[in-house]
Amino acid sequence: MTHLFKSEKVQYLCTCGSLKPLCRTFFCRHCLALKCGDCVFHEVDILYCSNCLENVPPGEARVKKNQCSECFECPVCDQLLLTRATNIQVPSTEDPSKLVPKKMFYLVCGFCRWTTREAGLPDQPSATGSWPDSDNANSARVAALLEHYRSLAQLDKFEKEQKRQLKRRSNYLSFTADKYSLSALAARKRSGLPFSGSLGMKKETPQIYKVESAVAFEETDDMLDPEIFTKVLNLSFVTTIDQRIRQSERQPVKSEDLIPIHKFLSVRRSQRCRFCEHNLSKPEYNPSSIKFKIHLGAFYHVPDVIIFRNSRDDMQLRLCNRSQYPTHVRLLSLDQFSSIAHSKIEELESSFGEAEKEKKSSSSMVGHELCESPATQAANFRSCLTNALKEKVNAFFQLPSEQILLPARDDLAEYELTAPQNLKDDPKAVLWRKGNKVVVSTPLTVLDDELEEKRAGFVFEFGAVRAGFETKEVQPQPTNVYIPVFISLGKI
Amino acid sequence: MQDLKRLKAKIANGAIVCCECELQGDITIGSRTVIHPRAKIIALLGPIIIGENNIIEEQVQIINNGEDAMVIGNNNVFEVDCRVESKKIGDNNIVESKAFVGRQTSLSNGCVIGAKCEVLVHETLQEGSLFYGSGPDVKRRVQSDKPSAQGAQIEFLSKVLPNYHRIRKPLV
Repeated sequence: MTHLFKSEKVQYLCTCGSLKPLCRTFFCRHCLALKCGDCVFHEVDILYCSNCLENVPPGEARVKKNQCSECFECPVCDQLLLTRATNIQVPSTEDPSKLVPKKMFYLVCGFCRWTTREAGLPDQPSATGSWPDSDNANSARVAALLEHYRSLAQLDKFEKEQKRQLKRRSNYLSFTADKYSLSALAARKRSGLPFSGSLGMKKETPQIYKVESAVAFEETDDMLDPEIFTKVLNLSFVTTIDQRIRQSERQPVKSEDLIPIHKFLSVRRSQRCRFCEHNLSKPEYNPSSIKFKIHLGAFYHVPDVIIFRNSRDDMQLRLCNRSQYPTHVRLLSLDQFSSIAHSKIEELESSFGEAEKEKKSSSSMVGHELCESPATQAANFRSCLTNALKEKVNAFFQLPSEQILLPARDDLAEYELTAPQNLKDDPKAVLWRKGNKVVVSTPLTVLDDELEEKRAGFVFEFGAVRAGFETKEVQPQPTNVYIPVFISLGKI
Repeated sequence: MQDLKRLKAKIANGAIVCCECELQGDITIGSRTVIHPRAKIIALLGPIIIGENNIIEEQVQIINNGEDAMVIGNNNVFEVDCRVESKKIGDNNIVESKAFVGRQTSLSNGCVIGAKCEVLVHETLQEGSLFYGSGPDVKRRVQSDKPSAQGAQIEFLSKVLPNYHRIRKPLV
């Protein structure tokens, strides 16, 4: 079924100029344009552990180094570690001579059967949270260096602020000091004394954190063992490069030094339209939920085109409308679209001149205004036209000239026994109609018969409702949206 | 030459061998070994000798293609749909699901052949060696923990299997 919708044959032109199948795009209801994965902002919504499904806010995650505290990964094969329990006999606390069974836990990998016992880690009495962390020998030195450079950065910033303050204040004082006898300030400035604290610069000069400079040694700690030249190396006791780098803080050389690694957190992302900054896709808070809070997939807003019959003489396309509103669809050839686009651009640019009189710059407009401003719309038309003309086509459809009504998606339609509405369609163009689906006949004319892969394109005009206007009384008026569609027909 | 197919398998007392498993040729099965239905033990030319306390699960194919005897030791586990053509298997080994052990390989003691691994190396595997991974990416290492004994599982199977399947009568 995914093959039916995810076809690479019918591709829509996104606003960024890339061709994508409909199911891979979003439809921004404010800009009324297609946005694909390449032209949206990807943002980190929340971090979660894919095993224990624990949501971690980004601040806390940074402290924990983006790792889950409870779940571990096998250092050998990178799979999840499972906790297993064994019973051992320990002397009970009350009566040391008696032996009482006690549960001890160890971690084992389900894939390669590595256990924590191989690392020499003793079994833990509690199931969670007591496995030792890797401690870096250099962490103290690194922290000291960080502190030192952070204090240097602060000092830099402070000096910059001071300079800026001085520059600003110097002009002000030279104009007004003599007039309004702000003599105190002027006097201080002339005498070269630093400004006093009452002017709001009470901060002391930040101190630099002192760090000992590093000393070079001739012999380092991790010298190569001279036995490596004499003893035969057993490769099963040596870690591979992958395993070594995965634990970059310790980088163990011997297999017995490998310890369990904390599992890394995965990211849930939300996607945002680059232009109007509205959210296009936002997941739920619960990490195990597959639903979305906001999901503006183009699949549900833009009518879908599928090749119904792929033969040269009798080419048929099926249009399906999956949105809640009925739309009027028109299929335009690229020439028709370019003439419409040019006329619209002229129209918008003339009204553009009037908006300029109100002195509104585009940077101050946000949201609705930005999307609807004539400047934006004109720019959109222009870019759409240039992108559409860039694509190479070697076949043309003969498209029906009039508008075709596509009813809204109605889930109850299959249960209705009565025949659907009487719509007057041109019988030559519209071959078949059922519910929200229409099959249209589009005979093909091929330009160049030699090329094997035939490709045709047209522009889809349909009415879409702009978001933000829905009130109960007034049914919002749909605006026309133009999307170029390119179809690879294969060898016919 | 004797018609090998006419030979009946020699099943020791205490072994649980289901009727629906396919036994062909000269086979000796030790006591307390459990053979699930749909297993195939085929001794085409040479005999197969299976020790005690083994578990041979469904769809397992143990095939002896050569003329010399194929010896399987004690306490081994052959998981579902694995294929064993190795001449010599020691004790306490585990061959996981869909694995394949070739004719040139011999398992010593305590080895684990991971799921879907094809082991065709021409050597006797070191004690406790372990193969994991899949396809062309099979890796090996040596494990220190021996696989645990299957005694409890064997007991359970001995009680439950006869309730649902017909068991072959022991024939020494």
